[in-house]
Amino acid sequence: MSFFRFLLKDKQENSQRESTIHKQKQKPTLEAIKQEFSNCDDLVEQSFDQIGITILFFGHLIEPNMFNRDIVEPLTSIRSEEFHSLMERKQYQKVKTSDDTVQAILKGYVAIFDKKETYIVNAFGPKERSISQSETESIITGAHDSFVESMNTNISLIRRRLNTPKLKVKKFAIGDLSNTSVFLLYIEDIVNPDLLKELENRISNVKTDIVADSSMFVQLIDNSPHSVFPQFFTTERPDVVVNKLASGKIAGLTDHSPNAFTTPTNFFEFFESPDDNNQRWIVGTLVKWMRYVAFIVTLCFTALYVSATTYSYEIIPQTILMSLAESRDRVPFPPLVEALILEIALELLREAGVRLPTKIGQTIGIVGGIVIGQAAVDAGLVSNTLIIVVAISAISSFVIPNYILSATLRIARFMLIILAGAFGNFGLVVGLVLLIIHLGSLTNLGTPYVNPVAPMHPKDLLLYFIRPPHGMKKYRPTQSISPEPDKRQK
Amino acid sequence: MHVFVKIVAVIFFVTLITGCTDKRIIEEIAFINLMGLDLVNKEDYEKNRHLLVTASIPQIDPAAEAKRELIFTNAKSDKEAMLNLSRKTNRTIVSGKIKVILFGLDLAKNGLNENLDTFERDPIFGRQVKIVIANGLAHDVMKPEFAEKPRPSTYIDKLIEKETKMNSIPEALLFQFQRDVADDGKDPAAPMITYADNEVKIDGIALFQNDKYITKLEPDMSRYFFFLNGDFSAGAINLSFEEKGKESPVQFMYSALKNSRDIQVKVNKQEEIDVTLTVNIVGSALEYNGNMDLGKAEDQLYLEKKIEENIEKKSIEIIKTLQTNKVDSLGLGRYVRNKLAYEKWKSMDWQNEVYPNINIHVEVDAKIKDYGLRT
Repeated sequence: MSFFRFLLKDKQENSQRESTIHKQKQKPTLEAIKQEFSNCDDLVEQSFDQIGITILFFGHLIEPNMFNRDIVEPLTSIRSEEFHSLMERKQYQKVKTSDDTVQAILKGYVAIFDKKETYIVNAFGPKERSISQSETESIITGAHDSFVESMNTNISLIRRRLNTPKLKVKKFAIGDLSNTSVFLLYIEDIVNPDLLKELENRISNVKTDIVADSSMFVQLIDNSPHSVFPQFFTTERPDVVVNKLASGKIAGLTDHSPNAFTTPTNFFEFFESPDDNNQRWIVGTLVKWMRYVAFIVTLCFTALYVSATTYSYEIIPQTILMSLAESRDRVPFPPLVEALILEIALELLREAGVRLPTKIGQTIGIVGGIVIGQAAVDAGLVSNTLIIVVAISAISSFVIPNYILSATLRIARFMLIILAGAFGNFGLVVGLVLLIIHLGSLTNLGTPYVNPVAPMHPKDLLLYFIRPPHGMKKYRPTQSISPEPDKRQK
Repeated sequence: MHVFVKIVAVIFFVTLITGCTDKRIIEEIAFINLMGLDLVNKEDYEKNRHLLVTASIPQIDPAAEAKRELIFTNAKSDKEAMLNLSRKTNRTIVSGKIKVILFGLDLAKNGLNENLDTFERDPIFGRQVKIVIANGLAHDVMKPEFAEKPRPSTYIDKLIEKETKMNSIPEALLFQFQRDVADDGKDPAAPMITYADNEVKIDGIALFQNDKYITKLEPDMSRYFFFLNGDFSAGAINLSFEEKGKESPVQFMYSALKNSRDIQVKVNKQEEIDVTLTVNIVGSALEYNGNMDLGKAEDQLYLEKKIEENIEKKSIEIIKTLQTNKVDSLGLGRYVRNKLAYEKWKSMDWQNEVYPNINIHVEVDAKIKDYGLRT
């Protein structure tokens, strides 16, 4: 981490500092600005010759109605001596420096150049994707809207759900090139100020060129960049973010990203889905347990197959042992190689399916289903029991609601398979222990990653391992709790 | 470096430098399901300790016609037999899946302690291993192939399991058998099977004195043995008795039994030991072709009395057999031991002198719980 930062720092800072100082001194003349934007062919220059006014803007950043109302109509209808009184209006701002003007144009403002003065007016409103359903976190009951790439819409989605002035929004600008806005949202009085301060510290220390997405941004502020586990919870769903905010967590939104991140995060949050809250509590609880089972299955099932067929035949029931041995009899590879072949084939299929358009994607399904499923067994490349094992662990990996965690588990699964192939059940257990140790060593904003379990908070266990009836949810998780609890928080 | 990188490095190296010699890939192993130990020639056994070891291994090659591989050898022990047997198959022989150990009758008569030792010592034998006695040679029971029972090993295992559940043969798992051998107040009993008339079937209960086979109870007596042996709730007995006004004996099916047994030991001043076994049975009348009206209380009482008499008679018969053969399969010694001072118990020869001569009474209390709609 620090290594990469060091490389970047050198290059950027020297050139940046010089030009900033230079620009700040300059008066914002038309020529100077045009000089700054030289070779930017998408910059539009428009002149109103009767009154001797020139305007500069990016055509693709502005909204035509606003542009007409605030610029074209007033400027075409006035005489030149009326210009200054027009500029007295509130939406027009006078700018003093060249740097401010450049920044404003980049942000979708229109710069109006008189002979002496320069004004800017906001006409920002590029085309954006409309609010649609989330594809990665789709649910059955409950709100279906999800974040889009526009920050205004995203914050509005949250504000609409939290009608309280206590919802605070803090803005940061990150990325030397992209200058992306990052917003921190929290509910005053509920949030833990220490965590907020820590997060602000980390964000202001980030040095990077661009911030493309929240999922990428959180990797710049987490504790263990080399861990395979996601350390910040990211979601596309405003209702999830609102729930987290209400439990005292901090949410972060990155401009141009449909993902929000929330913190402090613990491992067990990744097993939650908004559907749990909309279900009856018993059903929600059982579904939650099913996800934990799926987690264990996707992690260990193939590894268990490998260790059982390679070392510990005793643990397989007699009847299965016979059919297993029969199907394995034709396979030329040891179980480890056999399992790796099929697991890698499945990973290839999955990756191919993600990239392909839906129409061709169906072909992949057929190829995968028939070729891998049937023909591989017929050809004696893999045993049919393994097909079932791998299929069940693949299905289980889809049960985990968070895509990033599910991808992580795929990696961890390979580690366990190799350990199981080398050391049998012993290796499998060692692998799991290493995994647990690693999870225990992770932190998020200085709070333990496996929080309600270690350190143990029995009340919180109730929140994460069962979905308590809503009437009983009278407290907030200890991990994000504010030192000065409000009345409801006991 | 970070912990994760360390973990990856460790995994990488251990994977490369590992030398795994104890791999047992399932299609390369021959897991014995059923093992038979026989004493063929007594003189040879006394001189060389030679046993006939027979192993039944499920066949996994789909091309093979037979569903199992039957291999046998002469060896001094189970472990030596493994070495000999492995020369007769293309797979590695393992004994982690042995379900049943079948002892031949002659070997059982000679005592099993010596042979059980190896099974006791080797941790690969789990608590699931059943001890079964073959009436004859174990090899003969294992050898025949049946078209309808392609895997005799599985068949025998399931047969024993089912019959144990139905309480018609005692459960004799390896550790239970050895515990009873070691207990001076109880003698072990084991299920017995036989190959006759082209079928393998249960042939009663083998009764042991310590580790030596003494005699057996016929299958039709085994139910009565269980009435005396302890509490259970399953099974049925068929009784037939004379009734007034009926020429042929009346058939009575007493089913869905629930049995509870109580043992009371009395020692009087002359140090005579007196044991009373109280048996309480509750069951349904499933079949009855006599003249009595089962709906009437007095007729019910009469029938209950008949049942009690019948069971008592058979029970006394069993107890006589046990006493004359000096086998304490019911574990009466345990109850007597609890009544006596330690010195007293130690000083007497329970098995050979005391047990055959004590008074044992049986009191049966039978109840007909229900008798169906037809009266």
